[in-house]
Amino acid sequence: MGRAAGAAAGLARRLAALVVVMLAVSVVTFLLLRLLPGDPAVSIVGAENATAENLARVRRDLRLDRPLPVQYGAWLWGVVRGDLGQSYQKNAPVSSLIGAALPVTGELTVIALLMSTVSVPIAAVGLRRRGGPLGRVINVMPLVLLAIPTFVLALLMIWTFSVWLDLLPASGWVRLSDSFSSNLRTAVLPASVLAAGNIGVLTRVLHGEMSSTAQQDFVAVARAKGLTMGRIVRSHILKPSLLPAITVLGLQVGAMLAGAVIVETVFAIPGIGRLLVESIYQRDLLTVQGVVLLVACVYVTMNTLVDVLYGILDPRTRRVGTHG
Amino acid sequence: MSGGQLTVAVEAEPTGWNPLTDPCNEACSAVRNAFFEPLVDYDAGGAVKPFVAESITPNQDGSEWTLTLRAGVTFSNGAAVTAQAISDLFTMLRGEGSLVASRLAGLSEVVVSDPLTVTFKLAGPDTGFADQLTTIPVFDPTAAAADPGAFSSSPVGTGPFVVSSWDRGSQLVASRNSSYWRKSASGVSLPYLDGITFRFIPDEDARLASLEAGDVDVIQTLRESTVRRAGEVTGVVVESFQGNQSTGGVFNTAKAPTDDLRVRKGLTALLDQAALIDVLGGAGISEPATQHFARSSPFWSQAAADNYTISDTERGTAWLKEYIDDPARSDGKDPGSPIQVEFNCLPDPSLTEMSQAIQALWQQTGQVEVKLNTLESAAHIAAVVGSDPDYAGSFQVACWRNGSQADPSTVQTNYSATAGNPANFHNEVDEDILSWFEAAKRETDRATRAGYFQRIFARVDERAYFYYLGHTVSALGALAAGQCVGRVDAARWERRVWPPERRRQMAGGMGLGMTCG
Repeated sequence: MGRAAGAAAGLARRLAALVVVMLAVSVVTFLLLRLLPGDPAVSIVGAENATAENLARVRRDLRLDRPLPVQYGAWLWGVVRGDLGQSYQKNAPVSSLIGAALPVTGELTVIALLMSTVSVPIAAVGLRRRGGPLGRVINVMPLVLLAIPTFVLALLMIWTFSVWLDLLPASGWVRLSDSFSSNLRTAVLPASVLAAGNIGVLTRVLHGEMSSTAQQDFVAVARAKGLTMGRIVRSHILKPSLLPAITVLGLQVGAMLAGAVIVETVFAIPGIGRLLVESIYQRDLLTVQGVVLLVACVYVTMNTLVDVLYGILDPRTRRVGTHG
Repeated sequence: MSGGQLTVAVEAEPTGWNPLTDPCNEACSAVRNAFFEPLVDYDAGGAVKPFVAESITPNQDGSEWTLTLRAGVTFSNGAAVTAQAISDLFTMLRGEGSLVASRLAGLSEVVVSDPLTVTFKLAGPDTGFADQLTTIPVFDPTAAAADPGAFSSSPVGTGPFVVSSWDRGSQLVASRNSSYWRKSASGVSLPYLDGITFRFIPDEDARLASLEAGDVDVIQTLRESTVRRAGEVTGVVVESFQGNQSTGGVFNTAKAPTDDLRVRKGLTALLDQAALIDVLGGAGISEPATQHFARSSPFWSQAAADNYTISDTERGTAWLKEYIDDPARSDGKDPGSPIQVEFNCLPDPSLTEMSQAIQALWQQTGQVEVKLNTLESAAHIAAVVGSDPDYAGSFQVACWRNGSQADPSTVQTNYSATAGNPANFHNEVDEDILSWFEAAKRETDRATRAGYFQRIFARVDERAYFYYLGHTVSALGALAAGQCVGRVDAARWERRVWPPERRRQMAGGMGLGMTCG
């Protein structure tokens, strides 16, 4: 009973912290957008159509002529009621724009995360072949993956797999609801690019952790018992080495959302990243605020989940959490 | 031979397709022209000809224009294009919230005479009114008023295609308008194609790669470097068009030191036009520009070309020296001290290279210190447009696309009073220019009218409001016929999708939908 109450209190604390973080993010986003140079009204009507009357009307419609606290308060009140507002530029509710884009980015992220699991066998092989040519390649590979800028990697993949090998489409997106196979074909390249950095980080972390674990006494005991290196890696080294990787994975979800901005733009994919970029260019303030709030929410939630998962997988941290 | 689909990749998508409320750039026009048509259009010789309208006739002084509609033309929703619909449409276009209201400021009244005849009554003579109509898309005002949001996503015009679906950020699928009114010379109902899928691929490299990979049949670009690269790809045919637009810049006459003519002319003269066109990837592709119009335009002026001094370091240095040594120089600095100029441009890779080249050229004589400001599009435009009430802009020099395909009468506001006018980017008012615009409105003789515009743009160059580099190449790259067998019938590709007489208009973003019909 006491443990359950403690867990509930811990969860409540986390949720409260989540709300505070979201509020802070919303305030910062709101202020930053207002500080951006450029007049949303000019962006909306276009320089060639700009008249004093048009600009004044748009500012009035967008309530940009009201004090900032009033603008923010009105938006926040809407958010509390589940209304992210209406995109003036796109003539559509922000929630529906996000609703259309989120499954796309979500699918890409999930595929990329699944692809990222390849880091586990790579790191394991790297450990077993440590010192050999393959081990050295695996040691360097994460650095290469992390060093290549996302847009360069995206273009390299397009030229290799679309133009040269003619295996996959160079750009575009077929929704899952339209065709499963076509959807997968359009998802493979962008998800691979999205996963590349993640694979680099995870392989690097896992490789380091596994190397460190391999120095532990219990591994020496296992060796002395005559277990093969493969079995030792699978049964004794991998599990304790996965814990830091889980933390990294939580952080990498945020990185992947950031990467989606580039990947979705290059591959012309109608996801959250492209919606965000276009909305910034168009000074579609409410859509930007909505998307940033969502991304922050996902990021914070993921990291909260990782913390919880960490506690479940590692009893030591659970005890610290309970007492702390 | 009919049928088939075409996939066309364009660089950007607009926020919506409603001509009333949604701005539309060149990429957008290439798509939007599949749904909308004008009442009148230009023929190959540049003369106004009826299009959705059957005829248009001005009265003696051009203050009234009587337009007769074709019988039997319908909007894509089946509603008839009647005189009343056109009257309602223009009431809407002139109303609050319309982006094109300023272009129709001279229109006082639209009178319906019979079901197919309307008379446009103007506040005064305007012999260019029919030219203005070429820029106004015809759409169903009832549908636009009933649900503006839905109309913006699925517009109702008279064009050869209708929107089947629009997946924002990805693609728009247009299908054949089964009730389209035009027929080919041999009597075949247009359009030939069953549909066009427009894909929005902002990245130039990815768009070109999509063409090479065969994911799309046609790509659109405004980037000279892409035009060049597309031309080097085996199996890709490039059709390019150079209209009146040119890469260049605008000087702010409301800010020192560019408020001084000597500085504007000096900075322009120091530019190496050929080198800068080369930096943009346009060498051998982009024609050097000297004024608002291209040499092929009836409004091109030899006097303007004579007034335009570029690639002349000696004269540029002399003009700048005169300013630098002037004790009453407008920037208030000591005589002899260098001129300090801020140059605004966009964060596009080729434009960044161009900005750096311009900086080097201006600084080469030691007379000018240049600070480069790289601004994202919205900030860049806002710096040029300025803000209420003077709209003077905060820039000194900004890279800008000059010129337009529209009739010169449409750009009068770019030269009108600055206070309360966001459209006068250079911020100087020349009374002669305004009087020539007014005279051109009253002039019924086309050649004399063109003469007024030639004088206007000669004066514009004399006052050095703008600098011009190379004319903007608007191009379509397409897979050659051989690679399109099975995707688009080769014969149709050659004879119908790409009839030579329409290629230029296609490349100009002026009728992709029509051409594909």
